[in-house]
Amino acid sequence: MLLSKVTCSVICRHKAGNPLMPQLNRRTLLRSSGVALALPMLESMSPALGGPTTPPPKRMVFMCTALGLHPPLLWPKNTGENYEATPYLKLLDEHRKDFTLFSGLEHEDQTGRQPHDSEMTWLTAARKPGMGGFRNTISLDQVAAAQIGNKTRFRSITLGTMKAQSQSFTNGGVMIPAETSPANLFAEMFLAGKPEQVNAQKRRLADGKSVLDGLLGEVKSLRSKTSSEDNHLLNDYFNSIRTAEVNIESKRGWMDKPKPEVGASKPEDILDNADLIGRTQLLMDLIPLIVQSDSSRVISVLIQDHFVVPKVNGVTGNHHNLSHHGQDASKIGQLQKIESEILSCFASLMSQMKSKSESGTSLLDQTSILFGSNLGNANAHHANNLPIFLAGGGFQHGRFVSCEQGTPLSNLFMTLLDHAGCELDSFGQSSGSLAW
Amino acid sequence: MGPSSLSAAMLAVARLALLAVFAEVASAQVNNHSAQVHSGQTLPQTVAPLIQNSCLPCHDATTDTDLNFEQLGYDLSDQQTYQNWLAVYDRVRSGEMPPEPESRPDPQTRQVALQGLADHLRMASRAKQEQTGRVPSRRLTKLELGYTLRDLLHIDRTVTTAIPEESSSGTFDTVGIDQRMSAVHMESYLAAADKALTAAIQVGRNPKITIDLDFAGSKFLNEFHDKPLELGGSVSRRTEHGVALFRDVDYLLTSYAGGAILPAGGKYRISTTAKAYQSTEPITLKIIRKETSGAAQLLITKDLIPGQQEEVSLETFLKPGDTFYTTFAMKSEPFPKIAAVGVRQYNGPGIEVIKQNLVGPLTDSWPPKSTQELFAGCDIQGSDTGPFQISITEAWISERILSFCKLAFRRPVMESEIQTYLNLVNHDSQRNRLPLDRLRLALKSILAAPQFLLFSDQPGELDDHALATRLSYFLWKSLPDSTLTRLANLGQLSEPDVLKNQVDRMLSDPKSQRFVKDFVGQWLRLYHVNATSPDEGLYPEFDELLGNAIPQETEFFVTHLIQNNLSIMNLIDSDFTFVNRRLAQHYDLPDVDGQEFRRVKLPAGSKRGGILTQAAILKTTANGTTTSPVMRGNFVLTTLLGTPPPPPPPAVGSIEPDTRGQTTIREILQAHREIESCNQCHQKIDPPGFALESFDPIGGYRTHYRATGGGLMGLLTQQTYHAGPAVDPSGVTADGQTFNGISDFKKHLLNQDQQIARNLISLLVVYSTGGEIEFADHDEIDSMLEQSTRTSFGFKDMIHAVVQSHLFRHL
Repeated sequence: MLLSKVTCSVICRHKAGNPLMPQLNRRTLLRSSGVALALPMLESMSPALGGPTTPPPKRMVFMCTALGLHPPLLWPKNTGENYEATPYLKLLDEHRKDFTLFSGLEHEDQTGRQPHDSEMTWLTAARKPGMGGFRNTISLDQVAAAQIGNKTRFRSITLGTMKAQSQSFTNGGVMIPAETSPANLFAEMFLAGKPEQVNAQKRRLADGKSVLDGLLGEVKSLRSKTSSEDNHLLNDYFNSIRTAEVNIESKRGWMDKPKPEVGASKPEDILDNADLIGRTQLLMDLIPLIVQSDSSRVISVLIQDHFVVPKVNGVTGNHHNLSHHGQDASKIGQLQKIESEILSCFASLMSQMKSKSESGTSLLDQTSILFGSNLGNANAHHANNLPIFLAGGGFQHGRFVSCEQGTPLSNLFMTLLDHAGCELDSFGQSSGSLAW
Repeated sequence: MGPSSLSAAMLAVARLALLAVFAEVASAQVNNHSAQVHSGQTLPQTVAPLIQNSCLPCHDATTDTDLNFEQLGYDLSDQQTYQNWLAVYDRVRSGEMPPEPESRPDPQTRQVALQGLADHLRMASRAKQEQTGRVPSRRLTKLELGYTLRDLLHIDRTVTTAIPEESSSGTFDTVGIDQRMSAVHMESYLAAADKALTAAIQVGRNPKITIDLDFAGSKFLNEFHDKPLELGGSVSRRTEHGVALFRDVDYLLTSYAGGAILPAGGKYRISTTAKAYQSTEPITLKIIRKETSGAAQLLITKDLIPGQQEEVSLETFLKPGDTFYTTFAMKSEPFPKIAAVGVRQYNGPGIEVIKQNLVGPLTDSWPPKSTQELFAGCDIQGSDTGPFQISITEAWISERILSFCKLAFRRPVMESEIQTYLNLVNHDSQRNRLPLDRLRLALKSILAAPQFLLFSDQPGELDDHALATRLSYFLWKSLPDSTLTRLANLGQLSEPDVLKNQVDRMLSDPKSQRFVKDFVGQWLRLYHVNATSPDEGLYPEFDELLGNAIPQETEFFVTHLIQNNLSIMNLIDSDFTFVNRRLAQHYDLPDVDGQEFRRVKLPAGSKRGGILTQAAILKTTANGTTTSPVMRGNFVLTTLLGTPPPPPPPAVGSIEPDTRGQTTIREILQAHREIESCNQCHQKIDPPGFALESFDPIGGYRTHYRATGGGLMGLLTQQTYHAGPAVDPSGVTADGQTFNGISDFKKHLLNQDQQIARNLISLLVVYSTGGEIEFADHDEIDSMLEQSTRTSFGFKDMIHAVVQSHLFRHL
């Protein structure tokens, strides 16, 4: 059970005292010391409480811009530390020492039923997306969430800029819907509800538990009557109920713990679909808060095609159509404007993660940020030579690493999992882990 | 040949000898157990010679292919082995294997092997079906669950939006084997059940409102009439009878500006009195619903004829927070002229809204039918100002749970089966709660129960209730109605005549539109018709009206074929189609007024006719900017003929489009086709796509490609594209027949009527039963095909044949 693990670790650290007391009563601490709210959350608290210092946890952020990055504006001519910054890399130059750019990486067999189907498999590496009999597999973030997600209020966070589509998939290959409202997520994560709302929520969770208990009995009795080997849905149903029960228990456990305060006010959602960049930026501003408050350690973000002309100066075409520029220079110019803004959002995320710290290191040092795309060349829908950035996480950075064409992206995934302390023998088409 | 390959060859000879011995032994076994499914490791005598002579040289342990006959064995009761042999059968039968440069197998050996394989595969397939049924497990799809909750609880809204989309597996979402369920589903099912019950149980005050929107007196609008252009003003003005609007904008004639705020979610009627203003041509009025998320939906379009005042009325579901606004399809930008003369003197075209009225939520009674039905038998007391008191007794709760389960589980239910739900109602933790809340908890539980969400039947012939359920989810995407249930209770539904009458009745019910929309939505990928929006520079004529009209043509067309039992060969070519004024303009068809769809006869020599030349198909198979003969050719082979080409080898990417007007897609493809390994498939894929090159990404007819930029002339005319190279729609089919364009090509397609009909029959079987076509099913598909050929390929006859078939009537 998820909850028992959480409680256990708390008990271990506080040999005496009420195990249900939150480890750090940060709110009280901040108020009494009069320290500005921006004070890093975990820093200085562990020593104050006299417990053994635990190293800050590892986090992972996966962020994909689904329409790619125009290759000629991205790839430098020379590799290594002294690569000459291209127009796109110039936008990130301030953070040059904090990220690595990889070329040559890909997943195999990404020709899908529809040309953009590789969106489904960027984090799963499943072959032939959408083709007959296709079933997706578990995504990298969910592998990590299963191993390091049980320590936090949210096992993982799945974000999108426009719709529920995400790149996070359960081990049964079911997509986990993306949250598209930063305001809702902020409220759920950081705002304490009114007492009557909290009570109603408790009642709902208790009811939910009763309902699930009853249904578990029903499905058990049905399974005993039919050959469950042939009825995979009955098995799925059974497992769904079990997982839903665990989730409810976990929620009930967290209900009793105060929500963290992050010293930021609730963001206002942007309703205009055309404001792709504004919406992306809101997510970039939210991620440091999630990490800083240790609300979740695994986050995925999909920057989607919004099907409209994005509000970017000098852009008159819709994003997808511009990605099919057909070598038309004016379209490439507009595409560059959009993609530059997206890269600037990535830069902003790095800045914010660097300026916040915990236990003497910056959030960025503790957080691996994978940023890239499922398309290497969107004009032709090619899903090879993917643009892949890795920032933070405490890795050695500052270089452009040119891998042999066709190197499994899954090898880098293995490196990330291993680094975060997740155990797995292999992932996708991995043939080992990637070192550079 | 080097020394190493020489020794490899010798090894291969030795292995062949070994295999031959196995085959001898196997033949004895086959003869003894001919009625049993093969479960041994050795090859039967009929099959072995072909494998040895023609397959093993490439498919053994030493060669780099996915298939290794030395390892494969012949245990057909094993699913993977079965699938492999099925692939062997298909490829040898189609002539694809052995591939071209290799020597042909001896015809006699090939024939014997194919016959032997077919017998064994059929036997294995039947044995499995007898044991587990064709469709051992299947659940409600997201769409089916949405309609089921609506019909079961008599509610007028969709409560399933938060349920995960069905995943893309290359076939219909009804196919059980590809369906999955996770905790994400379970949590969303419970949430949907909650929403549905909240919508159904209405015991508060009647929220019905009747509002006349006040545009003339709106402070907001009156300010905007005179605001400067650059602040969004000066595009409307007060008139003697109302307000005139000159520009297509979403912020002026809104329900909010008119003072209408929705008290509750429900069905509303919006009535609008409007006129074409200062126009000599019809003006198309639009009313659009907007959600707080920014999502918008076009509710109605109506052509206003100059000089006539029109009343436009529509009913739609609105939820709190929704707004709607009234505007029109603008033909040209009024800015320059307004800037010159001011809006008060402006004499350009627009609409004049004279009156707009909002009524709702519309219910037959209060409390609404959903509440009255759910609490039938209880005393309900109260008045329209609410709240209502419902007297609920414990005995009634038990009865209600039983009767609700019968509806929800779509079959008779024994009292012992409802214990779980009674326990929930009577649990200690519920003791201090109102009877209504306790019942609600039980109902929520039933709406997430496995018996509700899953179709669970026994192998063999479906009983009448299971048949009613399968039929109802096929044609209505929802649970059986009282008539079907009554016939099932009487045991009469399974009688062929009764079944036929019911299919006719169900198809004439408006609920059958759910089937048509979902079937073409998935089969013809109409659900994805708006997945790309056309390039504004290359296709500036694409507007909201056209985008809205495009999928409707195909839906009307297919509905018409079914309702009138017309031949499905109309899908390939027809002398009629369905258009409204906007689509007629797009197709260059004369004399069509108004935005309502109607059947029109196509003029002689028209390029249109059949679905391939409908804008919906042409748009779905393009990317918004360019067309690709590969995409469209693949569509014809896969979707219409059911003969999908194999996927390209992994290393091959797609073609990089070039819209600068220098090279055509044909020239790029030509280079591709000079490589023999590419050409093998592309000689089949490309020709249908070449024929369809006469149509652009939005389905317009073209003789020349459009290239980006207006060029020098464009500076003057503001044209955003120029004519590029000429289109060449001619080609040669894979079997060597030439065609000079789409009309010619359609004739070639019509020669393949058997394949087209077989494909559609198969698709209907897969969609309706939720099971893929298996080897054992081929005989029955053949007999349905014969029947369909005899009845001139009538679409409705085909549906009847499917419903009457053994496949449909067995699990």
